Amino acid sequence: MRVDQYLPGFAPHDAIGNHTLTARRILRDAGYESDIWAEHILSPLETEARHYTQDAPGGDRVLLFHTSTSSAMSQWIKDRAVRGERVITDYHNITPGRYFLRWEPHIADAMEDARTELAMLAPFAQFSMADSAYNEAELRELGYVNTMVCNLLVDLEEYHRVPDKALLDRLPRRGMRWLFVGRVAPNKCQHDVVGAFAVYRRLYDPYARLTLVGGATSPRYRLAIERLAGELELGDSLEMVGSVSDAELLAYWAAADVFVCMSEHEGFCVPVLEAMELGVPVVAYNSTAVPETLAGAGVLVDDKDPLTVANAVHDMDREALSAAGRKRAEHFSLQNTSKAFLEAVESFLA
Amino acid sequence: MANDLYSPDDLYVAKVRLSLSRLGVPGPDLEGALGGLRAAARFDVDVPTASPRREVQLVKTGVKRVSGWYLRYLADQLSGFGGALVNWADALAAKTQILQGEVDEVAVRLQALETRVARLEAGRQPGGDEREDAAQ
Repeated sequence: MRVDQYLPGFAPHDAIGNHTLTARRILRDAGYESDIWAEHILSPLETEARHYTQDAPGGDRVLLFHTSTSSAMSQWIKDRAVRGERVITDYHNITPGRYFLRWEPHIADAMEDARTELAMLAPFAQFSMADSAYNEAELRELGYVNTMVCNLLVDLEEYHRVPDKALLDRLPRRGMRWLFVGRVAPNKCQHDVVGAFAVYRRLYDPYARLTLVGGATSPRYRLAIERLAGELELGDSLEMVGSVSDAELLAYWAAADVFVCMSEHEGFCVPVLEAMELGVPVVAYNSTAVPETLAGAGVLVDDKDPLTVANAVHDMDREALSAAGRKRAEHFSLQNTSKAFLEAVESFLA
Repeated sequence: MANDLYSPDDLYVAKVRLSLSRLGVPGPDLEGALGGLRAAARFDVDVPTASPRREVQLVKTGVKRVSGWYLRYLADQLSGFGGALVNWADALAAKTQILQGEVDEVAVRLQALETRVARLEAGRQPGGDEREDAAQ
């Protein structure tokens, strides 16, 4: 019996890429044959996957398709289902195109295409997994019937490796250190984090610092944030460091006093989980899947007004939030999520 | 004296609010619209002639050669019109930006005043919001 995974983009340091690799290990350990097939395979993963159009082994197999972006692979998967192959989907969320319309219209179009493709596959997916109840609800809206929540597979032990010491030593120790981790994209609303930070710095802590980690999905949005920082006279208290290595990311986490997330659209939000695992208090905007992931282990704000957020950071009980976060992260341990994943796949195969 | 009306912190918070409101989703984007206008203001007369059928390609190439002088004449005028339109839009955008700056300044001061009034009102009541005092 084979369970082969298909995904449009297979990239290192990517939540879906890591999830796919872990899923393959779980499936193989459980005695299934399993390989990965992708449309775009980024270095150094060339040896881990093959292009999806290459001949796949025949016989009794299930296609597990990871959906998150627009891809020609969607039509290919549909064609396979029409020919009688069994298809499972694993939905990792698609950002609504409207967020990108102003900044990168071509991305907005791609996002809308992805949603259309997701809807197209609904009648052909015999079973569908979703990273969160929020994602599952989206699937059901699009006509998916046989669905189940199956959290993302994240190896939290990876976050306890040694951070980049040289970087950690270089980071200033004075003042409250705010951190946000995530692609620079309009739905992540880094501008709201910058605004709240500016107010916090002005009212409570002139030595506070904000680090934004993550490569830019939208260069124009990134430019707008840089301009905003200039307008608000933040100087070098704001650092946009782009993509970083795993060790560098751990250094930023180690230095962080609070993780502030103002994102308006998340299907799960892995950085919230990272923060909880590492005991960094979370202050987040109450939106989409964030409250579900956080489950009370952080401060949720319903209002993104910069003064409200700054006050929430100022008033938070750091020790209590840190402890609550660590406890909540246990729920997402790889042991728990692996078990749930395998049970979900096997419930379908049975 | 007039400056005493405004707390610098209130002014700053109002300024932050205003700056953030401009980045909200989806919002108007004058710069992006101008970019689109600039891109659309040039007319291409190099008509594609490719076709999977050879005879159709030959006909297309013939028509292109015969009508090229006319298309160029037309495109020159349209490009001139497009350029003038872009210049007009640029001037309008610059003027709008100046006006926006003035409106923003008034909005920031108004918001700071509102905050101050709210704080004074709260202060009159027992157990008024101390946080507002901290914001000063």
